[in-house]
Parts: sequence; structure tokens; C-alpha cells
Amino acid sequence: MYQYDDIDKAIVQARVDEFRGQVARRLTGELTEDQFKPLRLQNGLYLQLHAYMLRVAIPYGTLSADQLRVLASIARDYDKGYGHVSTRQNMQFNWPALVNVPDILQRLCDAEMHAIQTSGNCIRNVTSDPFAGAAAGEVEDPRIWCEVIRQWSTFHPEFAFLPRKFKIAVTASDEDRAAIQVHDIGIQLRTNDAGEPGFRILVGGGLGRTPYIGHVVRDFLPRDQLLSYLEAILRVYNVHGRRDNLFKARIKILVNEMGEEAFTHAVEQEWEEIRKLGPSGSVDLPEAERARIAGFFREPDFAALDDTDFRADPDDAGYARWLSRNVSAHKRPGYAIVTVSLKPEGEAPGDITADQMDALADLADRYSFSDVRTTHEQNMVLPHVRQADLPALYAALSETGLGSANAGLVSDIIACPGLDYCNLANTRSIPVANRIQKRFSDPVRQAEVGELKIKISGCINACGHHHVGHIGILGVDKKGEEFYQVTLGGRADAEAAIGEIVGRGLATDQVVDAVEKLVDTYLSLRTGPEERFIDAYKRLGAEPFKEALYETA
Amino acid sequence: MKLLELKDREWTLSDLDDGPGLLRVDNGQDLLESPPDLTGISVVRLDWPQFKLGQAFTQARLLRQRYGFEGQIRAGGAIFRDQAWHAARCGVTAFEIEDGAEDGWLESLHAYPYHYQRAVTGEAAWALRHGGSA
Repeated sequence: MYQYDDIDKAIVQARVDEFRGQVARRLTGELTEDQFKPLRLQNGLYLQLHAYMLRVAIPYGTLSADQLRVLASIARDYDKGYGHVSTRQNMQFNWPALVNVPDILQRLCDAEMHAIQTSGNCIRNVTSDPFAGAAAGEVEDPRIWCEVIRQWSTFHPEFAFLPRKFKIAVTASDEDRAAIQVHDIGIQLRTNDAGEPGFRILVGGGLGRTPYIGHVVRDFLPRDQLLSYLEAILRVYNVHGRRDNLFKARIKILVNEMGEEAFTHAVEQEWEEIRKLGPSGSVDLPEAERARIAGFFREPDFAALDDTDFRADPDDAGYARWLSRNVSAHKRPGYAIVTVSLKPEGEAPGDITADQMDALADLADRYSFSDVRTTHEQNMVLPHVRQADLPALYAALSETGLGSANAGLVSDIIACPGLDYCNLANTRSIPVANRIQKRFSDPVRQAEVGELKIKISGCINACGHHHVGHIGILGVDKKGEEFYQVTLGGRADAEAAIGEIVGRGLATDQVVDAVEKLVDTYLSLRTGPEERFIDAYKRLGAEPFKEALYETA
Repeated sequence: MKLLELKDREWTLSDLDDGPGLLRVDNGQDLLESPPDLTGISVVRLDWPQFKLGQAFTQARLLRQRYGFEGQIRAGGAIFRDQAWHAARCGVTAFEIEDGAEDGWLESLHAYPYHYQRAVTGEAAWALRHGGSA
């Protein structure tokens, strides 16, 4: 993974020192809360319902085992003993005291980490495929380009005060595990007909109150021109993006108000202008720097192994379920990718305790080249595990409460923090997720239902990605009562789609029954176990599901 | 109010003076579309009506890099000291500041020793890493 040089260290250290000064100015009263707010936000510090929340950047979801131990130490020393993996691969701490935040940032800095631009109207932490460097079919490791973008976007002087937040995701294969079509900019590394690597660039996707799938503005951009092209997009947005209405300020609104063609034309025209600066003025990365960064993402020292028949039917049913759900194909024979579920029944989705972080760090050292990932689905990944080590790894994960065999199943729910933590939320999300988990507690039944992605947001801002849930659940407040609106057929993969609203909102005590009716309807109509919920929905449309939901009302 | 101005590579404090040759550019003015008339202009004043209205960062960069303006670019309005280094990197060379605030502004302007990207001023990290500009 990327390692800081003296320049990186000096930049991140300067940020810690600057923020320490800003906190001091706040504590002495030199800064009011209004003046302090934009400063703390650019350092990932929110003021939530009960306390400050610090969002630590995990660039493109990649952590070393030692960095995970540092996060564990922060959870232990400055929080209530746990952290929370967010839908943008970051880690949030819900209970830090303001006066301690500079010390937390210093501890992060010493481990080559930070909380820079994890909030505020700037370019946020760039996200990627949690299987990067491990899955087959990649043009190259997408994290090379994520790191290029991380550096370019960090303290970009022109784009630190945009109309609204700005999210970029990068993948490098046809499988989309990073939801690039619902990002402000989605970047897919690909090759053209001549076999040269480059990028497909999508702009204007997003969730929130107005969900959109991104538009392709460039089907192929040569690899060495990425940064100038991104500058052109950001500049058009900074000049023309709306600032009169918070809810219309994202780039997706600009793209749709200008029209896809006019927006693309404006970007291409601006890009031509930028290119006139010539090599001496170019913002693009020179080849030597690309090669330097790429050098940090070379493959680990894989052994020459043969595939083993690790999916053979073992006696332990729990292990068999875990193999079938949480273990994915690796590009190298004899290796496997392991998804570590942070969705045990009854816990907040994405929560992980300090002790679990330490245990996982040890397992990463022992079994996965010290490499750990976070996922936008609020789980973690050990990307490079020898197949022969899977039984021992499963036993160790189970011992520490990380052995849930539910990746991609009905209990693997994405949920925003909701009204339990968030001051924007209308409704609670975590208890709804827990009640659904409880209803589908039987692992045999979960396995029978198969892949089903439920995503829950406690308000229209859609932090729980409900628009792209196979079953999406949106909390709304109606005259002081919590209601939940159900959407169906959303997905965030390569066939990304926004879910359809199927009918009127449901009361809190009806939500779990509704999910069960949807599942039963699917089970009764599917062509067989190989037809997933989302496939059946695509074939059948919303009608049979609507009927099931509202027939008795 | 005072003016904190870059003179011979040093930030220097002077009295605020709206002399002739000053052009005020509105924060919403689209400089992508067309440049302002810079004939006889020695100072362009950019405005931050609120700190978060960040169009002026682009305006400064366009004035320097696209329209070749070499006079003073002055920042005024609600811009605060913690934003000053961004503005300076985009080509701003003078700030309107409150009386007595210069120490804080200078501290913020000098807070960062390196920069990742190429802008108007300040060498990019990649250029330093590989010995000079590409």
C-alpha cells in the first residue's frame, strides 16, 4: 500500500498543527461555533445529536493491520470502545471530546492517516472496490488512481469550497463493487480497442433526495490526462453549480438542468482550454510520479499454489454457510477473498469493537499480508487468504464475533445511523435493521432466500443508500410519527438502478411484516434458487410485490 | 481595514486604498464565458459575499492563467484567514483584513510547507519529487 514520504508527512502534520490552533481559537472564544463549523467540517468533525462525531478517512478502503490497531486504540482511548464503518469506507467515532480531537488527529498522522476532507463542501475521500488487487479481471489496481486522486484533491486550492460535497469512486473491472454509477464522478479503468489503458468517466450520479444514475461524459480518456479532465469537470461545476438552494447544489442537478450534451460540451471545451497551458503548465501527473505511486500497489508475494477444493461439504454447517457467502474467488490459484461481516444480529450495522479490530489486525498479519479493507456495504475484507487457511480463519473470526455467515443476505443490511445519532434523521434506522435481522434469524432460511440487499435510510438524505437497495426502506416523519416508505428494484452494481416507490408509507410495526411478505412473494414466484430476488423483480416487475404488500390493507 | 499585500515575495501591511485602476469583479461573474475588460486595470478585487461561495478561487486562477493578468488580485468580503493560502495559490496577492489581524493571517498563509497539485503558485509535490517541473 501507499507509504508517505517526507512531503506527505509534512502536509498531514501541518493539518494537525493547524487544527490544533483552530480548536484552541474555538475554546478561547476567538472563534464562534458558526466560524468554527467550516473549519471542523473540513477535518471530518460533525456535531451530532449527543456529541461530536469524527469521521476518519480510510482512503479507498485500504488499511494496514497496524493502522487498524491505531483505530482500535482511538476507539478505546477516546470513544466508548467501538468504531463504525460508513458507506464511504470511512470509520466514524461517535463520542470524541472536542478538546481531544487534535490528539486523535496526531495519532492518526503518526500512522499515516487523517480525517482530511471527510466532510464539508469539498472533494471527499475517494472510494474503490474492496476487492481491488485481489479480484480477477482488473485492468490494473484501481487504488493507484485512487491515490493519485487523493493527492490531487487534498487541499486543492480551487475546489475546497464547492457548491456542495463531491464524491469520486474508481473501479478497474466490469464488476462494480464501488457503486460508481451513483457518485458525482464515477471512474472505470478500461482498455480501448488498441489495448491501451484509460478511463470511462461518468458524471452526475448520486442518491440523496433526487437520485440519478451517472451519465457517461467520456467513454475513453487516455490514462495520463485524468487530472486535467477532472479539473475541467470541477471547474465547470464550481462556476455553474447552483448555490441558491442546498438541495439543488450537487453536480447531478447541474448536469440535468444543463442537459447531458451541453454539460459534456462545456467540460470538453474547458478541458481544451486547460490543455493550452502546455506541458509547462500541465496539471497532469508526469509518468515518473505515476510509476512511483504504482510501485506501492505491486502484488504481494503470492506463493505458487494450486486451488484446493475448499468448498467441499464440511461437517460444520456454519462453516459451510460462511464459505458459500463470505468467500469469493481470488485471481490467484490457492487464494480466496474473505468478507468479514459487521452485521451480526442485534448490532448496529458496521459497528466493530476495539477488541475486534485488534483481533482482525492480527488475523490480517497472519493470513492476508497485513492487508484489510473496508467496504461501502459496511463490512470488512481480508483480500488475500490462502484457501488452506480458511478453516482456521473462520474459527478465529467466530471466536471474536466476526464470523457471521451472511454477506449479501437479508441480514447484511446497510443502515444509516438514523435518529439514534444523527440530527438530520427523521426516524430510527438501526432498530429497524435489527428487527429485520431477528425475523430472519434462522440461517437456513436466510440461505434459502439468497442474495437480497436491504438498505435503510432514516431520512431523505439517503445515507443508507435506500434508492439502490433491492428492498429500500426510507424513514419519513408524518406529523411526529415515524413512517417508512418501501422502494423495490434498486441496485448499485454494474446494472445500477434507482428503486421504485411501491405505495404508501408503513407504520413502524408494519415494516418487518412487509419485508417478510416481499420475501415470501419472491420465494413463491422465483424460477428456482438461482434466480435472485433482484432477477425475479426484473422479470416480474413491481405488480406482484405491490399486491402482496397492500392486498389486506 | 488594512491591506496585506505580497510585495517582493513578502507579505506586507499597508493602508487600504481604492485608487484608480481598480476593477471590482462580482462573485457570480462567469469568467469562463469571457474575460473582464482589463485595459488600464492594475487591481482586480474579487469578492467573497459569504466564505462558502468559492467561485472566486476559480476567478483568480482564470485571471492569472487564462487572461494573463499580472497586477494585484485582491480578496475581500467574508473570506477568512484559514482560506487565505488557497486563495494565494490561485493567484490572489492581497487581502483586505481587519486592523490588528495580520499575525493570524500570516500564520495561516504559512501553515503548509508543500502542495500536492500544480496551481498558480507553489510547486507541486510531484515536481519536487522528480526534480523540477515536468
